[in-house]
Amino acid sequence: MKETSVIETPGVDDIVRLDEMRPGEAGVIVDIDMSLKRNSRLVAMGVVPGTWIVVRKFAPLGDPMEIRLRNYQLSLRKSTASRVLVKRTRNNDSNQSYNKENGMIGRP
Amino acid sequence: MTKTIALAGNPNSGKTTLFNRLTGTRQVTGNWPGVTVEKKTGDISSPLPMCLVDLPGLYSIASFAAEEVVARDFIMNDRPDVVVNIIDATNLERNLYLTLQLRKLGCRLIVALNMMDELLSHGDTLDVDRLSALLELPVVPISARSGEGVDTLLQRVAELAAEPFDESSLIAWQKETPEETQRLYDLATDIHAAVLVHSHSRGALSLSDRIDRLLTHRVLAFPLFLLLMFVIFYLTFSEKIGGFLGEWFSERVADLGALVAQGLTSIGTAPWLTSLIVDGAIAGVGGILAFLPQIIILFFFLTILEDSGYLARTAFITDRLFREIGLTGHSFIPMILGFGCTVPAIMAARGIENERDRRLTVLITPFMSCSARMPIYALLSQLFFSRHAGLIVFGLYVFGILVALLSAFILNKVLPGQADHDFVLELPPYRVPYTKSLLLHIWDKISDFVRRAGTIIFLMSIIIWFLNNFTFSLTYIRGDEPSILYTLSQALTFLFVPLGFGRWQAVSALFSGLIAKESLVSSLNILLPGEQLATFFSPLSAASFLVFVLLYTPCVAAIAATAREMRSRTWTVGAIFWQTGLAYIMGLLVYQIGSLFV
Repeated sequence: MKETSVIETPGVDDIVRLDEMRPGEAGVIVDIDMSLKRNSRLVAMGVVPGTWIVVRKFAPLGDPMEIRLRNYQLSLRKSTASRVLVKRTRNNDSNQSYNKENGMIGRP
Repeated sequence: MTKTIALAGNPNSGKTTLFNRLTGTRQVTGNWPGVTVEKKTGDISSPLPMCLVDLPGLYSIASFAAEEVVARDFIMNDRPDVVVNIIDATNLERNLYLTLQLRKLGCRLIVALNMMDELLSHGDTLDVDRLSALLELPVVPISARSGEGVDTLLQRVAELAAEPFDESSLIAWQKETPEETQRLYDLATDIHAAVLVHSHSRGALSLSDRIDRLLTHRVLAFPLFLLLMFVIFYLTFSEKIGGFLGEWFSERVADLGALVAQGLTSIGTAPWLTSLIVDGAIAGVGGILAFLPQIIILFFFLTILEDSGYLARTAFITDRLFREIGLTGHSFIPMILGFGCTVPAIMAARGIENERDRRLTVLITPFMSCSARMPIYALLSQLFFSRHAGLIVFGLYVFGILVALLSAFILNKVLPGQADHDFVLELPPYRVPYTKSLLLHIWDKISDFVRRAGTIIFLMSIIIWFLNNFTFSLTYIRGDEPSILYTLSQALTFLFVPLGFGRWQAVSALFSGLIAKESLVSSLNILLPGEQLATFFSPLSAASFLVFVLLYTPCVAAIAATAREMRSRTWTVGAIFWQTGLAYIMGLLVYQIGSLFV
């Protein structure tokens, strides 16, 4: 039932900073910087370890970025995103299928 | 006894729409997080006398943003009899986090599952009974928009409120640890997965996604935004539409004035009374009402921007630019709303979490030309720049934006403190503006405008007329005696001589503009009737006057809003000085530099 906090398919995942991810890529948040934990807004909006996220796009001027998590869209600056670590999941190895175009998580 | 019912929920979950449904009132709604920034109350008489409190949206009761504290304090200290937690069914997982927090507090809770119609239209299904069982709370599916389920909700709330309640179950709020936050969110994820089934069609691009791809497109985003703004202002000011309707309106007002004057004279009314009605009330109020069509058009489009979800995207695409001046894209939302009315625009700044950013935004928002400044722009630009009137008005709007951005840039460099570099904003799904709420919004604007014209502007017109037609010994002026207004304003005219309009009529008009910006036009109409205005200014002094009007301190209502949001006397007074000081300097520059060429 707790699908977003279970990470499978070892070996093909790698840990990256959220701001380094490209549109369409997905993964699970593994850690966030202490300074962000104190940022009540970001945490209150569900950016916590164990959360499945998909990068949707970057703004026309390259920053901020838009991610999808918990079935809604959130925009945050790359400087903030750089303090979030994500275990990137390869599209075809994921136990969840998601649409690369819109970041929708479809459940099998 | 009247029961207190609080409406709590995430921003943009539809609390205010539900509130309006339940109480039959019309609070302003929109499709962006943070429309409601203060708690509002309304009464319901059946089935129980209840006082409903609409709280500002909050993501978490552990937050410290100003409007979230308002909501938390109300729940914790005022102890409402029932808390209705409104949840956006299409955004269930994140909304459940707040529900779980509220449940922990031990307050009497009922869940209103909103936007069920939208969820079902996506082809998704939600097991309401299962949700209720897992949360151990009553859950009522509703659609605040269509009203479906709202009666059932009200019935359930009343039943709950009538039951005795032991307040000792309330638990004092304790700071939430990151571990606890994560635990609640994990629980929300589990419940969400257990009750909601997404349809398989969700893999396809939804309409909202396709619109979004276009409007935030790497290349097209900015051209589309500028095009949109151009279309809005073109339709508002175009002679064929807004301007045409306005002209038609003002001709009717002139006809009415002439007709009334004729009628009053023929029945032998005293000249002073005829003058009061025709030169005071009709000239003053009528001159403003002529702008009603344009204001309706402008607000129509601003409301569409708000309700469609595009406003949050404009913040998203401009954030990078705002970083250059030390603000975030969030500041753009109040600025755009400032084209309508400065007061709600300033209040919209409350969603900005960082205090310094918020104060700077409040300070620069009045530089955006509000709709009340439209009449004076139109009047003077048509009189003195007939062929280039459109260009002058456009220039004033752009100049206001530039001064706003430049002010933020300079103050950010000069003032102590660190600029905030966080920009966390929810991007709501695009929604087709709901016709009924759109019409209500417009209707509110019309009635508000007409009411202002009938009260404040009317009163100001009478006062200006009185001060202009009576001497200090309170006798009606027939000859050349100095009026009260003349004597009072004459004392200050020397200040404005370097700006090119150091004459008492201009000074009086500027002061009346402090009460309401529309009064500038009504005062000038009263003080300089007929053809006098056309020779009162030169094109250059008219330009300097317009620049001063654009920048000087906004009306008293906006000053009051500024003081509320600044929460600091230094900042409030500082903002007024900055605005008026800049107005003076810019007016001076326009006139003095212009004099070298003319």
